[in-house]
Amino acid sequence: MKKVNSKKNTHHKKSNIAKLSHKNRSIWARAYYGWLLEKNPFPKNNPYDSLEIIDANEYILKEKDS
Amino acid sequence: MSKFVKHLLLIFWRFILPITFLYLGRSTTALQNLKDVGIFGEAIDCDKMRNPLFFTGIVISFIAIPTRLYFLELKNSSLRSALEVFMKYNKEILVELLRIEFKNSNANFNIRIFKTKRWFRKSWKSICEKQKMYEILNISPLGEKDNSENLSFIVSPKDESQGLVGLTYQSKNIMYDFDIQNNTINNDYRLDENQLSKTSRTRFVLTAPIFDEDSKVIAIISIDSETLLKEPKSMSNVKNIISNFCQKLHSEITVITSVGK
Repeated sequence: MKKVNSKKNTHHKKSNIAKLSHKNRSIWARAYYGWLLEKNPFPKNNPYDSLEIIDANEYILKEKDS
Repeated sequence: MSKFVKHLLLIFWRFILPITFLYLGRSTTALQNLKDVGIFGEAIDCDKMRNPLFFTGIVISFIAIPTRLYFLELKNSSLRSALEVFMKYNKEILVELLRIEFKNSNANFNIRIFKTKRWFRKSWKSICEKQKMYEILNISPLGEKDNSENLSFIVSPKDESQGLVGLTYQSKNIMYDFDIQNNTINNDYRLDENQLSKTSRTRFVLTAPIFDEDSKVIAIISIDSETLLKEPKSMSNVKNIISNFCQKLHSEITVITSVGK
Protein backbone atom coordinates (compact mmCIF):
# COMPACT_ATOMS: atom_id res chain seq x y z
CA MET A 1 0.00 0.00 0.00
CA LYS A 2 1.29 3.41 -0.93
CA LYS A 3 2.20 5.51 2.04
CA VAL A 4 0.73 8.97 1.96
CA ASN A 5 2.96 11.75 3.07
CA SER A 6 0.49 13.81 5.00
CA LYS A 7 2.91 16.66 5.58
CA LYS A 8 3.56 17.00 1.86
CA ASN A 9 -0.16 16.89 1.10
CA THR A 10 -1.03 19.69 3.49
CA HIS A 11 1.82 21.71 2.12
CA HIS A 12 0.41 21.55 -1.40
CA LYS A 13 -3.22 21.78 -0.43
CA LYS A 14 -4.46 25.32 -0.86
CA SER A 15 -7.41 26.69 1.05
CA ASN A 16 -10.35 28.11 -0.88
CA ILE A 17 -9.32 31.63 0.09
CA ALA A 18 -5.72 31.08 -0.97
CA LYS A 19 -6.92 29.84 -4.38
CA LEU A 20 -8.46 33.22 -5.06
CA SER A 21 -6.30 35.79 -6.76
CA HIS A 22 -5.34 38.89 -4.80
CA LYS A 23 -7.83 40.98 -6.77
CA ASN A 24 -10.69 38.56 -6.10
CA ARG A 25 -9.81 38.35 -2.44
CA SER A 26 -10.01 42.10 -2.01
CA ILE A 27 -13.39 42.11 -3.82
CA TRP A 28 -14.74 39.49 -1.42
CA ALA A 29 -13.32 41.32 1.59
CA ARG A 30 -14.88 44.58 0.46
CA ALA A 31 -18.21 42.88 -0.18
CA TYR A 32 -18.14 41.30 3.28
CA TYR A 33 -17.26 44.50 5.11
CA GLY A 34 -19.72 46.40 2.96
CA TRP A 35 -22.40 43.97 4.06
CA LEU A 36 -21.35 44.38 7.69
CA LEU A 37 -21.52 48.15 7.43
CA GLU A 38 -24.67 48.36 5.39
CA LYS A 39 -26.71 45.54 6.98
CA ASN A 40 -30.04 46.90 7.83
CA PRO A 41 -30.83 47.15 11.54
CA PHE A 42 -34.52 47.51 10.66
CA PRO A 43 -35.33 44.42 8.57
CA LYS A 44 -39.11 45.00 8.64
CA ASN A 45 -39.71 48.71 8.48
CA ASN A 46 -37.01 51.34 8.53
CA PRO A 47 -38.38 54.47 10.25
CA TYR A 48 -35.61 56.58 8.71
CA ASP A 49 -37.01 55.87 5.21
CA SER A 50 -40.29 57.59 6.05
CA LEU A 51 -38.68 60.61 7.74
CA GLU A 52 -39.93 63.96 6.52
CA ILE A 53 -38.41 67.39 6.95
CA ILE A 54 -40.94 69.94 8.16
CA ASP A 55 -40.78 73.67 8.82
CA ALA A 56 -41.70 74.05 12.49
CA ASN A 57 -43.65 77.29 11.78
CA GLU A 58 -45.87 75.55 9.24
CA TYR A 59 -46.37 72.59 11.57
CA ILE A 60 -47.44 74.89 14.44
CA LEU A 61 -49.88 76.72 12.14
CA LYS A 62 -51.40 73.41 10.99
CA GLU A 63 -51.72 72.24 14.58
CA LYS A 64 -53.44 75.50 15.53
CA ASP A 65 -55.91 75.18 12.62
CA SER A 66 -56.79 71.61 13.45
CA MET B 1 -19.15 28.49 24.71
CA SER B 2 -21.97 30.94 25.23
CA LYS B 3 -21.24 34.51 26.31
CA PHE B 4 -23.11 33.99 29.59
CA VAL B 5 -21.01 30.97 30.63
CA LYS B 6 -17.84 32.79 29.58
CA HIS B 7 -18.73 35.79 31.76
CA LEU B 8 -19.64 33.54 34.68
CA LEU B 9 -16.25 31.79 34.46
CA LEU B 10 -14.50 35.17 34.27
CA ILE B 11 -16.34 36.41 37.36
CA PHE B 12 -15.46 33.17 39.14
CA TRP B 13 -11.81 33.48 38.25
CA ARG B 14 -11.48 37.17 39.10
CA PHE B 15 -13.58 37.46 42.24
CA ILE B 16 -14.79 34.20 43.74
CA LEU B 17 -11.48 32.32 43.49
CA PRO B 18 -9.36 34.78 45.55
CA ILE B 19 -12.16 35.11 48.11
CA THR B 20 -12.31 31.30 48.41
CA PHE B 21 -8.53 31.11 48.88
CA LEU B 22 -8.64 33.80 51.57
CA TYR B 23 -11.49 32.02 53.35
CA LEU B 24 -9.74 28.64 53.24
CA GLY B 25 -6.54 30.28 54.48
CA ARG B 26 -8.22 31.94 57.45
CA SER B 27 -10.80 29.34 58.46
CA THR B 28 -9.66 26.70 60.93
CA THR B 29 -12.34 24.15 59.99
CA ALA B 30 -13.00 24.64 56.24
CA LEU B 31 -9.94 22.69 55.01
CA GLN B 32 -10.54 19.90 57.53
CA ASN B 33 -14.17 19.64 56.36
CA LEU B 34 -13.05 19.40 52.71
CA LYS B 35 -10.60 16.69 53.72
CA ASP B 36 -13.36 14.80 55.55
CA VAL B 37 -15.60 14.99 52.48
CA GLY B 38 -12.78 13.56 50.39
CA ILE B 39 -11.87 16.50 48.19
CA PHE B 40 -8.31 16.50 49.59
CA GLY B 41 -6.30 13.35 50.15
CA GLU B 42 -5.23 12.08 53.58
CA ALA B 43 -1.59 13.08 52.94
CA ILE B 44 -2.38 16.79 52.94
CA ASP B 45 -1.64 18.68 56.13
CA CYS B 46 -4.41 21.24 56.62
CA ASP B 47 -2.41 23.55 58.89
CA LYS B 48 0.52 23.74 56.45
CA MET B 49 -1.88 24.42 53.53
CA ARG B 50 -3.54 27.41 55.19
CA ASN B 51 -0.69 29.90 54.81
CA PRO B 52 0.05 29.24 51.10
CA LEU B 53 -3.70 29.46 50.32
CA PHE B 54 -4.02 32.73 52.25
CA PHE B 55 -0.97 34.17 50.50
CA THR B 56 -2.28 33.10 47.04
CA GLY B 57 -5.62 34.77 47.84
CA ILE B 58 -3.83 38.00 48.78
CA VAL B 59 -1.68 37.92 45.63
CA ILE B 60 -4.69 37.43 43.34
CA SER B 61 -6.97 39.95 45.03
CA PHE B 62 -4.47 42.73 45.73
CA ILE B 63 -2.11 42.43 42.77
CA ALA B 64 -3.76 40.61 39.86
CA ILE B 65 -7.18 42.30 39.98
CA PRO B 66 -5.95 45.92 40.45
CA THR B 67 -3.32 45.43 37.72
CA ARG B 68 -5.97 44.07 35.37
CA LEU B 69 -8.29 46.96 36.22
CA TYR B 70 -5.49 49.46 35.69
CA PHE B 71 -4.74 48.14 32.19
CA LEU B 72 -8.46 48.00 31.35
CA GLU B 73 -8.78 51.63 32.45
CA LEU B 74 -5.82 52.61 30.27
CA LYS B 75 -7.36 50.81 27.30
CA ASN B 76 -10.73 52.39 28.01
CA SER B 77 -9.31 55.91 28.08
CA SER B 78 -7.42 55.41 24.81
CA LEU B 79 -10.58 54.03 23.17
CA ARG B 80 -12.51 56.98 24.56
CA SER B 81 -10.12 59.51 23.08
CA ALA B 82 -10.15 57.64 19.75
CA LEU B 83 -13.97 57.75 19.77
CA GLU B 84 -13.87 61.49 20.48
CA VAL B 85 -11.53 62.05 17.52
CA PHE B 86 -13.84 60.08 15.22
CA MET B 87 -16.89 61.94 16.51
CA LYS B 88 -15.18 65.27 15.90
CA TYR B 89 -14.27 64.18 12.39
CA ASN B 90 -17.86 63.07 11.77
CA LYS B 91 -19.16 66.39 13.05
CA GLU B 92 -16.78 68.31 10.77
CA ILE B 93 -18.08 66.38 7.74
CA LEU B 94 -21.69 67.09 8.71
CA VAL B 95 -21.00 70.78 9.38
CA GLU B 96 -19.21 71.13 6.04
CA LEU B 97 -22.15 69.55 4.22
CA LEU B 98 -24.59 71.88 5.99
CA ARG B 99 -22.44 74.91 5.16
CA ILE B 100 -22.57 73.94 1.48
CA GLU B 101 -26.35 73.45 1.62
CA PHE B 102 -26.98 76.75 3.44
CA LYS B 103 -24.35 78.56 1.36
CA ASN B 104 -22.67 80.01 4.41
CA SER B 105 -19.04 79.03 4.83
CA ASN B 106 -18.64 80.71 8.22
CA ALA B 107 -21.62 79.25 10.05
CA ASN B 108 -20.87 77.37 13.24
CA PHE B 109 -23.03 74.47 14.32
CA ASN B 110 -23.38 72.64 17.60
CA ILE B 111 -24.74 69.12 17.80
CA ARG B 112 -26.59 68.25 21.00
CA ILE B 113 -28.22 65.04 22.04
CA PHE B 114 -31.44 65.06 24.06
CA LYS B 115 -32.18 61.99 26.13
CA THR B 116 -34.92 61.00 28.57
CA LYS B 117 -34.61 62.82 31.87
CA ARG B 118 -34.36 60.35 34.74
CA TRP B 119 -37.21 60.41 37.27
CA PHE B 120 -34.98 61.45 40.18
CA ARG B 121 -33.89 64.57 38.29
CA LYS B 122 -37.46 65.65 37.61
CA SER B 123 -39.55 67.95 39.75
CA TRP B 124 -42.39 66.51 41.84
CA LYS B 125 -44.89 68.38 39.66
CA SER B 126 -43.70 66.71 36.45
CA ILE B 127 -43.63 63.28 38.13
CA CYS B 128 -47.23 63.73 39.36
CA GLU B 129 -48.41 64.98 35.96
CA LYS B 130 -46.62 62.07 34.21
CA GLN B 131 -44.68 64.40 31.97
CA LYS B 132 -41.95 62.93 29.83
CA MET B 133 -38.91 65.18 29.64
CA TYR B 134 -35.83 65.20 27.45
CA GLU B 135 -32.60 66.59 28.84
CA ILE B 136 -29.60 68.00 26.98
CA LEU B 137 -26.38 66.04 26.83
CA ASN B 138 -23.43 68.11 25.67
CA ILE B 139 -20.65 65.94 24.33
CA SER B 140 -17.46 67.98 23.99
CA PRO B 141 -16.47 67.01 20.42
CA LEU B 142 -20.01 67.60 19.14
CA GLY B 143 -21.11 70.79 20.85
CA GLU B 144 -19.76 73.57 23.02
CA LYS B 145 -20.50 73.41 26.74
CA ASP B 146 -22.16 76.82 26.86
CA ASN B 147 -25.04 78.10 28.97
CA SER B 148 -27.31 75.32 27.64
CA GLU B 149 -26.31 73.02 30.51
CA ASN B 150 -29.29 71.33 32.23
CA LEU B 151 -31.65 72.47 29.47
CA SER B 152 -34.68 70.19 29.30
CA PHE B 153 -37.96 70.12 27.41
CA ILE B 154 -41.30 68.45 28.05
CA VAL B 155 -42.00 66.11 25.13
CA SER B 156 -45.16 64.41 26.32
CA PRO B 157 -48.18 64.92 26.69
CA LYS B 158 -48.65 66.51 23.27
CA ASP B 159 -50.48 69.68 24.39
CA GLU B 160 -47.65 70.48 26.84
CA SER B 161 -44.68 69.62 24.59
CA GLN B 162 -42.01 72.30 24.44
CA GLY B 163 -39.65 73.48 21.72
CA LEU B 164 -38.60 71.74 18.55
CA VAL B 165 -37.52 68.77 20.66
CA GLY B 166 -41.15 68.30 21.75
CA LEU B 167 -42.43 68.74 18.16
CA THR B 168 -39.93 66.18 16.85
CA TYR B 169 -40.85 63.69 19.56
CA GLN B 170 -44.54 64.03 18.74
CA SER B 171 -44.31 64.06 14.94
CA LYS B 172 -41.33 61.66 14.62
CA ASN B 173 -40.01 63.87 11.83
CA ILE B 174 -37.13 66.26 11.25
CA MET B 175 -38.11 69.82 12.29
CA TYR B 176 -36.31 73.05 11.54
CA ASP B 177 -36.64 76.74 12.20
CA PHE B 178 -34.31 79.26 10.55
CA ASP B 179 -35.12 82.05 12.97
CA ILE B 180 -36.27 80.66 16.26
CA GLN B 181 -36.37 84.12 17.85
CA ASN B 182 -39.44 85.00 15.72
CA ASN B 183 -41.50 82.47 17.62
CA THR B 184 -40.50 83.67 21.05
CA ILE B 185 -42.90 86.65 20.72
CA ASN B 186 -45.99 84.44 20.60
CA ASN B 187 -44.17 81.71 22.52
CA ASP B 188 -45.44 79.04 20.12
CA TYR B 189 -42.88 76.62 21.50
CA ARG B 190 -44.29 76.98 25.06
CA LEU B 191 -40.84 77.76 26.50
CA ASP B 192 -40.48 78.94 30.07
CA GLU B 193 -38.22 81.79 31.19
CA ASN B 194 -35.28 79.52 31.94
CA GLN B 195 -35.47 77.87 28.51
CA LEU B 196 -35.87 81.26 26.80
CA SER B 197 -32.78 82.65 28.49
CA LYS B 198 -30.73 79.56 27.62
CA THR B 199 -31.74 79.68 23.96
CA SER B 200 -31.70 83.47 23.59
CA ARG B 201 -28.66 83.52 21.29
CA THR B 202 -29.76 80.61 19.10
CA ARG B 203 -31.14 81.46 15.66
CA PHE B 204 -31.21 78.24 13.66
CA VAL B 205 -32.37 74.90 15.10
CA LEU B 206 -32.88 71.55 13.41
CA THR B 207 -34.01 68.52 15.38
CA ALA B 208 -34.18 64.89 14.27
CA PRO B 209 -35.31 61.72 16.05
CA ILE B 210 -33.21 58.65 16.73
CA PHE B 211 -35.20 55.44 16.77
CA ASP B 212 -34.69 52.08 18.42
CA GLU B 213 -35.39 48.75 16.66
CA ASP B 214 -39.12 49.09 17.50
CA SER B 215 -39.28 52.54 15.81
CA LYS B 216 -39.68 54.32 19.15
CA VAL B 217 -37.92 57.64 19.67
CA ILE B 218 -35.03 57.09 22.11
CA ALA B 219 -33.13 60.32 21.62
CA ILE B 220 -33.29 63.55 19.66
CA ILE B 221 -30.42 65.17 17.83
CA SER B 222 -30.44 68.94 17.80
CA ILE B 223 -28.24 70.95 15.45
CA ASP B 224 -28.18 74.63 16.35
CA SER B 225 -26.39 77.74 15.21
CA GLU B 226 -26.14 81.31 16.39
CA THR B 227 -25.74 82.45 12.78
CA LEU B 228 -28.78 83.71 10.92
CA LEU B 229 -29.03 81.40 7.94
CA LYS B 230 -30.97 81.69 4.72
CA GLU B 231 -33.40 78.89 3.93
CA PRO B 232 -32.42 77.06 0.72
CA LYS B 233 -35.02 76.46 -2.03
CA SER B 234 -35.09 72.74 -1.35
CA MET B 235 -34.45 71.02 1.96
CA SER B 236 -34.36 67.49 0.48
CA ASN B 237 -30.54 67.30 0.52
CA VAL B 238 -30.49 68.44 4.16
CA LYS B 239 -33.08 65.75 4.95
CA ASN B 240 -30.90 63.06 3.35
CA ILE B 241 -27.78 64.29 5.16
CA ILE B 242 -29.51 64.37 8.55
CA SER B 243 -31.36 61.06 8.18
CA ASN B 244 -28.13 59.32 7.13
CA PHE B 245 -26.33 60.85 10.11
CA CYS B 246 -29.08 59.72 12.51
CA GLN B 247 -29.22 56.24 11.00
CA LYS B 248 -25.49 55.75 11.46
CA LEU B 249 -25.68 57.14 14.98
CA HIS B 250 -28.66 55.17 16.22
CA SER B 251 -26.96 51.84 16.99
CA GLU B 252 -24.07 53.56 18.79
CA ILE B 253 -26.14 56.08 20.72
CA THR B 254 -25.70 54.38 24.12
CA VAL B 255 -21.90 54.30 23.70
CA ILE B 256 -21.77 57.89 22.44
CA THR B 257 -23.92 59.23 25.26
CA SER B 258 -21.68 57.47 27.80
CA VAL B 259 -18.79 59.69 26.58
CA GLY B 260 -20.68 62.78 27.68
CA LYS B 261 -21.25 61.57 31.24
